[in-house]
Amino acid sequence: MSSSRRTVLKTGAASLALLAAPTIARAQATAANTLIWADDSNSDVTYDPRVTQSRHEEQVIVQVFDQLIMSDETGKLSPGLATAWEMSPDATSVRLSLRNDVKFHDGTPFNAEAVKFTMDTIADPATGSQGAVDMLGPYDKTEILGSHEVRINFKAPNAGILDTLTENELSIVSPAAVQRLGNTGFAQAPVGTGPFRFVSWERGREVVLDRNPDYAWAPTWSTVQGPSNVQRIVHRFIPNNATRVAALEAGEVHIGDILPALDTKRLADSGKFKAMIGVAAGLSFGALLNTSRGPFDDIRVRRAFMHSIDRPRLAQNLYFGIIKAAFGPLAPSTPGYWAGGEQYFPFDRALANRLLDEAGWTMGPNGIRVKNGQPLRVFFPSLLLPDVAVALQSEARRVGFDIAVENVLKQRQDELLMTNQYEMAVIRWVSNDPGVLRIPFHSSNIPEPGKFKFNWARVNDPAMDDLIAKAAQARTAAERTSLFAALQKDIMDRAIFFPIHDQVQTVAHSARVSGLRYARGNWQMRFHEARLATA
Amino acid sequence: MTAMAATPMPKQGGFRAIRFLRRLFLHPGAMVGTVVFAVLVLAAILAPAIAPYDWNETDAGPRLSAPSAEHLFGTDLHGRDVFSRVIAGGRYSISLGIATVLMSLMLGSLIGVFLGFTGGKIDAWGCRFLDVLLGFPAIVLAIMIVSVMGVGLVNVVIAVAIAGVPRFARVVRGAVLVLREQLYVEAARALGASDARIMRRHLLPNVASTLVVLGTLDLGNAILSTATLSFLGLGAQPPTPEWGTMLSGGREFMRYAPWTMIFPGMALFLIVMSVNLVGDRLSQVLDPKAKDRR
Repeated sequence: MSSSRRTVLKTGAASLALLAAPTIARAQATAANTLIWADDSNSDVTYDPRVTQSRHEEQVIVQVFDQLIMSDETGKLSPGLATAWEMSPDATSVRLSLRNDVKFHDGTPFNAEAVKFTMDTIADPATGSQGAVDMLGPYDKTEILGSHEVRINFKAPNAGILDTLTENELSIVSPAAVQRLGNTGFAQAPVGTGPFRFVSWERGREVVLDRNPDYAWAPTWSTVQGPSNVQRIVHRFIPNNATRVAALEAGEVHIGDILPALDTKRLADSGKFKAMIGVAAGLSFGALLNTSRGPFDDIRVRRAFMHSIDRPRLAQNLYFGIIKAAFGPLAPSTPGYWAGGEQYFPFDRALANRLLDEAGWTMGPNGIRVKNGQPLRVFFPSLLLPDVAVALQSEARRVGFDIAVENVLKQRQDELLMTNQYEMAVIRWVSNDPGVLRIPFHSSNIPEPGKFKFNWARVNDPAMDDLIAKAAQARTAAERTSLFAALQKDIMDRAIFFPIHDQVQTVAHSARVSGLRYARGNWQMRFHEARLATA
Repeated sequence: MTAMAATPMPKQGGFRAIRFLRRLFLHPGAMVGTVVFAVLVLAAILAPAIAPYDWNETDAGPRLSAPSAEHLFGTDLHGRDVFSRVIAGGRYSISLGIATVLMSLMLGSLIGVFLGFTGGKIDAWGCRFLDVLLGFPAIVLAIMIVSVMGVGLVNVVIAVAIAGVPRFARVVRGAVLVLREQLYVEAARALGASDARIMRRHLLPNVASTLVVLGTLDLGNAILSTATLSFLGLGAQPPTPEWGTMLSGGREFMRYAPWTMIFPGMALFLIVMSVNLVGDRLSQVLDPKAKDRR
């Protein structure tokens, strides 16, 4: 579920894709009971859950695989491939009882061996895991206690592991298939235990999945307990927004991934389509302010910047009510969300002006503040969402900031960030774990030349590192929640992260389709319960 | 009256200039082109005086509102006045185009004269190299150059200019190959003129008319290429009202607010069309083989 760097890359490359004339996929003769999903990418490279770090790839993975513990979109834990689990009191191991009636799509049985194989290969550097290996954390080993009984051991407390086991990345793979196909082959023909089995993948065009006729181990919250009502899923790659919308309106696809706000609204208002708006869990879309150099080395200037922006109005203006303003480092749908952030940095232009006056920045003749002859200039290399940059630039200018926006490509952004040549940069990160805060706020993640990391505020404070470490190693859920709340408060108090708006998955689907459900984290969509009414 | 009588008769050159201008502009295409070009350039120059709103003001009107009396060309997503932005955009798009052409013209003719005059191995290798560069579509070459140098208007000008150099160099070299066999060049050489002097005094002035035609015809291309790079996000940075950037910004809202794309697109179309009309006529008039044609 973690945000993919590939997604970020794609955003940069998307503009290039515009050169290509939009080609609307030819309508294909498809079986009546085929559900067609239009994905906003065409750069998938692996469907191996152990390897992936891309939400696009996970959209396929979530249909093909099951997890040991399953959760619905609310985050409640339910038995999945494991029927029961027990954490050790020191949170260094978890014992799981497994179902004994589950078969992989290749006919081999699911058992303790498969769990051990999956966990061990994730931890093996040869697998090249991008997401799963971090999620497993301080993994030590998996002990087989019986044919359907395992204990997963950690070298340090890992209180979040039960939540983490629901992640797509920790899906259980078929050891027989991996051994037969090799890691590379498995990435292109994955075998799991999920409600749909992988049939084919035509790169850049589509992936085909067929329903698993033997599926009888759906989680309890599923409204469909046996095989899916949908016979086949076609996962079609249509990265261009306008083309995806056109394909949806022409009836060539049933569900459109990540549609522009205005299109989503229009389609939903037409009555022929329904919209599903999922607020993604993880880091809100926001700006990290570089505390290591001026003018943002002064907390008054950072606070002034934040008070100068009217976030609810910005979100309304740019997204027409579809996407809401964000107020804390974590999205409300993330476990451990702390609501206290909502009190921070309300829009107050007078206060912003006062703070800048106090900090010694006086208004210059051209509306830009100056101090010691230097203008209040903020360099903002912007990789994502250019319209947000324009809005920030124009609003902050009203209190005397000169925000120099440069729309950059990924490579240039990385270079500027690694060499500390920026005042602010925007980030977003999808994750179901509040532990994601480590990524942009731990001092070990300050970018350096040759080392691209995400602590773009360049906060280097042992107190904060300590809080991050303590929260990660909490032994009880309550302790974990309170430590993560303290961490979120600390981040807001320091005024280093300016939450701008939620990350939202805006899906529109034909009114013929029902029974769609977001997977946990509100990015992927589960199709097991879907139904397709006849036209 | 006496003053008039005292005025000396215009020299032969003055008549030639008037005749030239008459031939150039008394042609429907060139006339339309000139008028359109003049209007767009004037609007751009006078933008601060005639723009009804500050072109970067984000709350000039309601967002994405249709053209009306208050906002002739409507407003964009940020509530900026599209009319003000389009006329201000000319300041960037037109001057960038001209700067680009001047730069490729200068570099290209230097290289062309040098290769053509020097000849031999240097010329052979230089030409092969130019051929390789010509093999790349200019816009691809420009994108490559920008991705190495970084985004920004100045870099876009340099990139598009460099991408245009091979064309100028090729044409100038061809012209120089013919010229250097002329008797007056031989005469200059016999009188002991240095190579540099021959290139400067005898060769360059004689390829000038070719360069003017080529430069004018290239201007349309250059404006389009710089706008293309800005459209791709490699050129003008927000809030600069460059036409290519405006087109790209309006893309997402084409269905709901087509005016955010139509007007900057129209401006681009008009400027390129006008420049090409004038360039076409210029090439007819300056064509040495057609000297006596009216």
